[in-house]
Amino acid sequence: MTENKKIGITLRHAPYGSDLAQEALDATLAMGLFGQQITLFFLADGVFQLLKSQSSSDIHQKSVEKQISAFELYDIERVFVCAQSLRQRNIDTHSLCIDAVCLSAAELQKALSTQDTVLSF
Amino acid sequence: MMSHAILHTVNQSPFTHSALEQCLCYTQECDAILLLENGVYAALLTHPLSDKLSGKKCYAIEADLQARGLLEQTLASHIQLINFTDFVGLTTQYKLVQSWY
Amino acid sequence: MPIVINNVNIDTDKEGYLKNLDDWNEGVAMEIARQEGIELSDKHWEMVNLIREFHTNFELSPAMRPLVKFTASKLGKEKGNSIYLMQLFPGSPAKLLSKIAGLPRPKNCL
Repeated sequence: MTENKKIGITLRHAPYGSDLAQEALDATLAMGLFGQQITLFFLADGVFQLLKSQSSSDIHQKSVEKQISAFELYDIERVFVCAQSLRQRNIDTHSLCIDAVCLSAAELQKALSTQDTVLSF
Repeated sequence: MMSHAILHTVNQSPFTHSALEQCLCYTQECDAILLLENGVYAALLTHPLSDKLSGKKCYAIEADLQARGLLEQTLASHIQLINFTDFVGLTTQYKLVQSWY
Repeated sequence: MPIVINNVNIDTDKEGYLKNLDDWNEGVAMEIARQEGIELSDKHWEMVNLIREFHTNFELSPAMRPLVKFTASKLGKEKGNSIYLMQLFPGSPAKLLSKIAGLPRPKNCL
């Protein structure tokens, strides 16, 4: 990988029902460590990954919320969330576990189009 | 290469899955949509999102339509049927590929 | 190398990380450290407890950079730097510390 490649990661699936959220996290943290410029796009059911108060030990899975809380330590600082997806699910930004920037679909599309590559989860 | 255009691929039926609906929310004028696998059911003339899709540049994999018997059905006229080689060509024409699945 | 404490075998993977996090206790930590040639001082224990706190908070075994950042935020810059950690845990501090603290091997850690 070249230095400072702009990598967009789209996250559209709810956590725990499949491995996608965990795989996206693994990829995000790994690329963050290797100095890539990561931008995360939480869309559709992906916004459920950002909810506070997740407690997944009884279903024997690692907490997505806890790992997301480590983003700052891994230098993952650009986190976008779709305002419309939040609205459709009646989720307030105060219910989110990190400070994510709320953007409209058009703004998200624009930000996505400026990436050097996109990984879809 | 189109500098800011995205090729969106959709592989789920619009009758059972929201992948195409989500895709249409985040697609802009210069982007294109490619239907493959069960996504090709969106090439049918009528489905819940056919009106919204009609304004978009759209391709579908002919082999996937053929496999499902859809070439005998009425398809939306604006959808361009392509083969796998064309698909590879498209992915090199567009800077980015976003998969909706 | 297998770990045996009070005649009880403790399962480790081939690199020496505990297979079950629940098997960890201070005696296990001291035995793993001894096999790595480290005698645990108070300064070592401070870091062992800190990396376990990291794992409790984030369910991750940290690589070097997040470990340094976390240490700096909790214990200050004098300890939150790679030189300090290299002195206590020579070679690859994040890996060695995870092993002694009974955590999984950090992913993507060189």
